[in-house]
Amino acid sequence: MAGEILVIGGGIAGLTAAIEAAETGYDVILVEKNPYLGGRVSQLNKYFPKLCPPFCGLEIFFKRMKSTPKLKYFTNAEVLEIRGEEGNFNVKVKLKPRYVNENCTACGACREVCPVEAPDDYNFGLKTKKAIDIPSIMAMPFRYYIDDRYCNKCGECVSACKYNAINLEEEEKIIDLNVASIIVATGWKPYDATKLDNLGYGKFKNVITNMEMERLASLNGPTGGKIQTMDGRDIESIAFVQCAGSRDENHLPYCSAVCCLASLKQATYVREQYPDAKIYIFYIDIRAFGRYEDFFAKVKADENIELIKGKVAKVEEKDGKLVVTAEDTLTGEKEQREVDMVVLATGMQPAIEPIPGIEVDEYGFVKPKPGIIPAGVAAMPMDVASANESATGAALKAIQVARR
Amino acid sequence: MEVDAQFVRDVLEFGGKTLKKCYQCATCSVVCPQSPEENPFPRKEMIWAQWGLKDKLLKDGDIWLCHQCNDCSEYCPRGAKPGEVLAALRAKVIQEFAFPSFFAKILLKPAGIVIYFAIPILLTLLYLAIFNPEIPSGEIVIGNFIPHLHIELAGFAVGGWALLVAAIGAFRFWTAINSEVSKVYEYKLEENAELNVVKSSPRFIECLFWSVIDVLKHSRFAECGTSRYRYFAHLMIFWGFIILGVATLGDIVYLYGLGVEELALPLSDPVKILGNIGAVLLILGSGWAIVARFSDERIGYGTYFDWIFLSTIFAVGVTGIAIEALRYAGSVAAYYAYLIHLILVFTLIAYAPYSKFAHVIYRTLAYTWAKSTGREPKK
Repeated sequence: MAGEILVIGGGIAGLTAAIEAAETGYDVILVEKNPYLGGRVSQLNKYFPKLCPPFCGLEIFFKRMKSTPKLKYFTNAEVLEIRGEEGNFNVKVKLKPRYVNENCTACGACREVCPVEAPDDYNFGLKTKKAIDIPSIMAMPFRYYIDDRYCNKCGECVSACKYNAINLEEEEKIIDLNVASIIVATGWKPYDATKLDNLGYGKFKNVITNMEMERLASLNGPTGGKIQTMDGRDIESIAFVQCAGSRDENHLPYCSAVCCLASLKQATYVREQYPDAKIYIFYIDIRAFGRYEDFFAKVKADENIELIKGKVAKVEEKDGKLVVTAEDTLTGEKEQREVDMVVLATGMQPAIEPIPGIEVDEYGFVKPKPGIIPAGVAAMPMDVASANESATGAALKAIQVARR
Repeated sequence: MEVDAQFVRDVLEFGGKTLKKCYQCATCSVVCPQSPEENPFPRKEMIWAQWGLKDKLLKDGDIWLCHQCNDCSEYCPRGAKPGEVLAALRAKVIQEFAFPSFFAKILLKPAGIVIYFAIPILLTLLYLAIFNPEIPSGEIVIGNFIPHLHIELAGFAVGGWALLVAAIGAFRFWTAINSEVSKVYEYKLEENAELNVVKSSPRFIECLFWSVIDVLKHSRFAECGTSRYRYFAHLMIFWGFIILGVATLGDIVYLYGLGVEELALPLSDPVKILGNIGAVLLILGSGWAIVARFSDERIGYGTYFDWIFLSTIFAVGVTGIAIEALRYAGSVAAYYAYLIHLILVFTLIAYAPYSKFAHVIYRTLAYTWAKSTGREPKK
């Protein structure tokens, strides 16, 4: 298959780059390893600073995609290797079977009969899914898929499907692409919080990560949008632990750029549902850059939100509650807060798995080279707005190569 | 408040080379098992040291409550190694409070090793020139080579000097740590609702007593996490010294109390057994500490200040055992080993107030201060 531009990754940066390039008239192929497009952004409840849900933005993107015949995309697709050079890359892509074809109407009859319960990665294991399921109510393509790590091929779904949409015999395919330039928008994954052994993640159930908080707060999340402890209690007090793994030589040495604003944003989620809840944000520095300063000022003005300058270095469990300890470096006192839930503001780690032909730096971020252009968090930590801009810039670079 | 840039350079040179990496997140103050609730350390010490606030650090008892477990360095997100910095600060404090300070400055520099050995070697040569002792023939009896009386007199002179200098340092230190931040106040409501501020009693004797008990038991040291071995190694060295001290007292009782003429005691003698246990503890403890410093950088990489003290202890132990072994073997080399041993013992005792040895006093006083001001970690 020949195209002009390949975009690896169908998250917000990849979608932006692919659509922008395709709308200028170039043949663009987008590959995404998940069975859905939208990436991390689709897991978010709201964007900062406007606090609007990411659905509208994604919806506009999906609409633009449909009206752009120059853009082709594959989900469940993984790039195996890249050969060649700027202007003439040969790319091998593995298409993993979805087992569900275009006939699917997402009626859900298959899900009803599927006997296999499996952890739902999309919700970070906060709920279960079936082995045949739909990633989310916003999934694009809006089709079911079978997770073959869990499916036992019992065939119940095949008989339940009225549209002949399920084929358990589908096999993986390898396709070869020839493109002029490649945009790498492989995005990020949350840093593994179990490595932060003094912060209690994995040890105490009410210590969660910021991405888990996004799912908890999302209407399509495990609790239908109700923020509550893992044992179902309301929130009276909550602590946000900034730099959980970021700016830390033992974990991620760099600043993940978004976690401060993400926690400030999540404080507003809690505030909205619990007008009296006490919210503590423990930080080293609040990095609300540029115009985000206003958002910081707004959140800070809430008298039930206490910002404490000092990194939490200890989380303990006491009588069913969590106790966090930090030294307030402004007063020089050790501060303890008893809370119902602790949210670790874990940082962003590059998600890319090694692909021959793509070089990464010491932290795993993609390095640009002729014809290969990183975009979004694949290049460095950044927020959604910056990822869009980075992707638009990457599209222009890719077009320059394709025009030669 | 005065900024002393030279102080910062000195701390860097004394092993605090990671000091400037600190970005004040205060992880260290929370993970430290020794740190109290109010004004915990070592975060504040890190910024004081970065800023060159020498005066504040000299008056800070907290740096002596640190046992360099290195839990702080282990969790430090910046590799600023507060544990190492505090060790460097302690070396700097010893140097500042020692009398005369210039002598401490010479001794604590690696180049000072020339002076370190030159003094005892010259004194030994002088002694040999004056008294001209001959290597005795026959059974090896140390007392026939150099009379016990001479050793005792030298011991009193050197020990007395060390105690005097140490007392000066201790006095300066105690005054400093009780001068400012650590003042203990009691408030009394007088007539007419006037508030009278009285400095409360630091309960010195009581607190000192319990501090000594803590030191003997190493109870605070035992709370260390990352460098757990340190507790055991230090306990061995510490009790090695105490047992050797008791054995020395036993020797004196033998000589002057029981009229024993010669100390070439058999292996079965109780005092000899005690001496050997002490020596073995000393060698094993210091040997362990030496090996550990090489095998794992997380527990501290050691500085000249640290190495010279540790190696001297190890060498004193080894030469002590060597004399004994050579004596039983009937080799005259025992007499030469004895001279080397004496030189090493001299460096250990005479330089104690200038070396890491001084921490015995500073730390005990800091414990006392911590008890009297309530600066003990919450259990």
